[in-house]
Formats: sequence, structure tokens, C-alpha cells
Amino acid sequence: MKNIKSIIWYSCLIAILLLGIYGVIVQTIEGHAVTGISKQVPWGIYIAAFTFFIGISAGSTIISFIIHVFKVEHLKSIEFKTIAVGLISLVGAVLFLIADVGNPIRMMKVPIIMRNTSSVFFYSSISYYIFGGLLVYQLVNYVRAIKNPKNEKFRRNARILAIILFPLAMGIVLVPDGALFSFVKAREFWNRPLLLPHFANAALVSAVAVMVVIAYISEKIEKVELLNLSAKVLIGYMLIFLVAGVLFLDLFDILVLRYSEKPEGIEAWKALTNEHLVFFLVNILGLVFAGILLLIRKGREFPNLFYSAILIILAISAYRYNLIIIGQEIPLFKGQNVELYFPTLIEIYICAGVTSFMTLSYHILIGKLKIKSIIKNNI
Amino acid sequence: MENKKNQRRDFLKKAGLGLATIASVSAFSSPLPTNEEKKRLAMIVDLQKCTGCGACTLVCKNENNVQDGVFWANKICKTEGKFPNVRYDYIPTLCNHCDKAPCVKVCPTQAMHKDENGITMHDTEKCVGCRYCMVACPYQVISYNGEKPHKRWRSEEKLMVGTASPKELNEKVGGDTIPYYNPERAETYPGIRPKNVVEKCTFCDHLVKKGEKPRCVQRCPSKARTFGDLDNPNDKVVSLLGKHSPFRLKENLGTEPKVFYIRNFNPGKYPR
Repeated sequence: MKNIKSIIWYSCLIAILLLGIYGVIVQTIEGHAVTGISKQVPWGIYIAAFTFFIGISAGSTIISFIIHVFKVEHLKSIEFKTIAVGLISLVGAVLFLIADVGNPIRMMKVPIIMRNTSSVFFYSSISYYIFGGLLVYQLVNYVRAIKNPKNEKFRRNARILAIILFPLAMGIVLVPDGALFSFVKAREFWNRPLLLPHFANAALVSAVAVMVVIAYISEKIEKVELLNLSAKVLIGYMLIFLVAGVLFLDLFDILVLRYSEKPEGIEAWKALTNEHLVFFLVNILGLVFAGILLLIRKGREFPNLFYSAILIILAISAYRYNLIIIGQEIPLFKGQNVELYFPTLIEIYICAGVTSFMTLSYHILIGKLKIKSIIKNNI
Repeated sequence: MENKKNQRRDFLKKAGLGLATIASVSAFSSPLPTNEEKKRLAMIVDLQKCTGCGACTLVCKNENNVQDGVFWANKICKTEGKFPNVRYDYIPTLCNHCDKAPCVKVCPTQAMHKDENGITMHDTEKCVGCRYCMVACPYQVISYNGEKPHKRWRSEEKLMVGTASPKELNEKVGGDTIPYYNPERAETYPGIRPKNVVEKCTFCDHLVKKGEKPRCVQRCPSKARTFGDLDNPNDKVVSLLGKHSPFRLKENLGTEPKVFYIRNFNPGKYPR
């Protein structure tokens, strides 16, 4: 029975991946004309997905830091998952970037051969190499530490790397990527000092939510209880705190947009309450309902904790989408027509394909390293 | 021990010499243009002379082999108010070749760069197609080639039975991709820009280098456009800027655009 379920699961993932590959082929032959981007909205769903996954990558690394440095025993069981999710999300984010740019091979040369030190993009592209390399090294050390529990060296290395990766995640991944948008003076919707803390907070909350989803799936399918009750309660409180932070920043955004009376603010508010209303509602109500659910005592246990995590992931995805798209849809000149962006089927295929690729990579990583059984034994 | 010290000293000496050689070679290999060569080219658009005929857009397309749907020379049209108090604005736009160009600042590969005359140029060989320049440009004058340019002229589909297809027509007149291909454009920038890169106005740098003015300035039927050097006190652009109260688009962003607009109708009555 279990085999049939996993066959169906892997077949679905492979089918979606093939759909993604088809999308990539079509886009490579036809060019970006098959996407919904335009002169007014040059960045579409790929960049929105990129910001979402880069956030998860940085967020998981920060959780890994908390587990390592503060020695949170309750969360030790998800230690490996945080590193794996951090690495795979980074790869996924870079794949979205590759799907978005016109010349991906040239893009790979950016930090090495072609460089403009005044560009935030230059620093963020360097950060992917450094961050990715260190994450791989941390993963290697962690796996060695688990396989040789008597050798303290690997565990110490993993701890040191977790400490090094924390400021990198905060400073290099979040700041350049948040700054990619907030430094753009031309787009008033992005050019705000509060965008960076909002970006960072949303990244952290989405990473914790992803961990909860992984733990729940492990518990239900693999029958491995990754999080004990105390860990679930701890994560629940962590999520309440983070969700409250994101909601506060969302509220602040709304107040500024609504009462600034700047043309861009008025246009952004119009977009949020008209064309982007669904995403706006998913963003706000998702966080509100997740928060309420988490405040209930039973809400910090499975399956309610899992439902809250799903609501949070949906809310943050909607926030990222609205942030990227509305920022560009607002006309640059008064009286200019609003040009709406809609992702095309090809874009959706590619996004689904990359997500499927990430899920498959996660399974392969765990299966290849035979980490599942080791964790199971440790627990 | 002593031997090691000497080795270290030798190494430091050699490294120092090497760095000094590299620094001097790089300093002499790319001499900066002298003040005589350097210009600050700018354009003035007289809004009272401009009739909104769109000739600038057409000649620009012909001169630069610009493909369908892409406009290097464009316009902003807006109608405000209700009858009888209606105001119609027509502002021709093009790349502002800003002194502090945001597109140059954000381009990760220096594909967007400044030439010796202050023209914001673009290198298609370096462009990665990230479109960060398009996002950062406050004037929306940069376009992206999402597909192979001039697709329509490659089509073998006949519009009517008995007529030639666009491809046949092109072959008949001996055109290179398009029947009206201008080879002069390829002197400083690819004649037709490839797929997956951005493109924009270059102030017709291929003409400027020969001492001519950009084609939109030459062909404007009402002579609404003036082109010249801001650093030359005898140039017409300097006298025009002194004579009128010019404005530039989105001056508050501090990009220092070099396209000026003069003699706007009712400039004080309707704030921009």
C-alpha cells in the first residue's frame, strides 16, 4: 500500500517536472515572448517565486543557527532538514532566476568576469555562490557528524558554519535581495525603508512554516515523529511572534498607502483592492486566521499547527507576488494606462516544474545520504 | 629562520613590483579623453513647436532598424479635466541619457555604460537580459527583445493569394532581415539587436561620431528638437536653456536627465 502511494507521489512529481521541462524548451525556442512580461512589468512570477524561495533558504539557515548555537534540544530533530531545505531552496531560487534572465550562461559569469560593483545584483550573485558553497560544506559536516558520533570535529565544524551562515543569511542573502527592490527609486511602492524588515520577517516565518509542513508529512507518511509536543508548542509560539510581526508591518504598509495621498500610494491601494484583491485577502486573512489558530491551545499541536503553516505559506506567497507585481504595474507617469500582468501557462508550468524538482531533490538528498534511518534511530 | 625571512622579503618585493606594474599598465592603457574630446550632449524639445506628428518615432525606427512593438522614441499622452476645461498633454520621450543614470548603476555586467560624450550606451555582448535596468529606469524607455526581432519579416505566410509573403518581399529588395535595413546603424551598435537582450535610444551615436545630429532632430518637421553640448557656452542648447525655464521629467529623483523640455503650455497653471 505504502509502495503504491509513493509510486503515485513520485509519478506526479515526475509528470510535473516534465511539464516544467516542456515549458523551458518552449521558452528557450520562442523567447520570453511566451511569458506575460511587458515593458511596464519586466519582472513577473519568476522573480516573485525567486524572492519566496530565497527567503525560505535564508530563514531555514537562521533556524539552523538557533538550533546549533542555543542548543535547542526540542528542535534538534529538524536540524538536518533546515540545512537541506536551505540548500534546496537556494538552488530553486537560482533556477527561477535562470528562467527569468535572457542569457543564463552569461549570468553565471557575473561575479567572476563581468562585474559592476555599484550594482546590488552583483553582490547578490556573489552571495549565492558563497552561501551555497558554505551550505554544502555544512551539510557534509553534519552528515559526517551523524555517521561518526564519536568524532567531535564534524559537529564543531557544523556549529561554526551555522554561526558563519547566520550573518550571511541576514546580511548577504536578505539584504541584497530585499535591497534589489527597495533601492529602486523609480518604483515608489518598493522604495521604502520598511521593505527590508518586512522581507526578512516574511522569510523567517515562511521558513518555519515549511519546517512544520515537512515535520507533519514525515509524521503522517514516514511515521517518524520529528517534533515532540514541547517542540510543537515552541514552534507554535515562535510562529505567533513572527506572524504578529508580519501583520504589524502589513498594517503599517496599508496605513502608509491609504493615507500618504501620494499618487503611487493611491494607485497601489487601488490595485490591492481591485485586481489584486484575491492575493491581498489571502495575504492578510491567511496570517490573521493562522494567528488565531495558533493562539488556541490545541492550535499548537498537529494537525492545527500544520493548517496554520499552510495558511502562512499561502499568505507569504501572496505577499511576495503582490509586492513584485504591483510595484511595477503602477504607472510611472500620471495619466498613463495601467498595464496588468498575468502569468502565462508556460510560466506556470516552469514554476511548477522547479517546485517539483526541489521536492524530488529533497527526497533524493535524504535517500542518498541514508539520513532518514539514522534520524529515526536517534529519535 | 633568516633564510625564510629573506624569502618573505623577496616575495613581498616581487608582489609590490607586480602590483605597481599592473597599476601603471592599466593607467596608461586606457587614457581618459581630454577635455577637448569630452562633451555633455543634451537635447531640448520645444513643446510649443512640437505638433505631435510622430515623425521622430518613425525616423528613429528606420534609422535604428527598431522592431515592431519597440519604440526608442516614444511619447506620453494624457488628457485631463472635463469639457470644456480639457487639457491634452503630449510629451515626446526618449532615453534621457541621465548624468546619474540608474540603469548604469544597477546593471550587473556594465552592459549599460557611459561613453565619452555622456551618452548612455548599451553593449549587447555583455547584456544578461536581467531587465534590472528596465525596472530601475524611471522613464520607461528601455525595451526587452523577448523574441527574435522582426518576426513579421521572416514570415512566409502570404497576406493575400497572389501577393508576396513578407520574407519573399524582403528577399526581392535584397534587405538584410528587413527591407528597410540601415547598415549605418551597425557601425557602433548591432544593426539589429538579438533576442534576450534590452535595447534603447543611443542619441544616434553613429551619426554623432560623424559630427551629425540624431536623426529625430534632423527630420523633425517643426524643428522642435535641438541637440548640442551643454559644456559649450556657444552652443544653441545652452542659449535656449538660459532663455526659457526648462523642465525635465522626474527631476526629484536626482537622475540628472539630459533631455530638457521648454515652452510648455500653461506651465504654472497645471502642476506636473
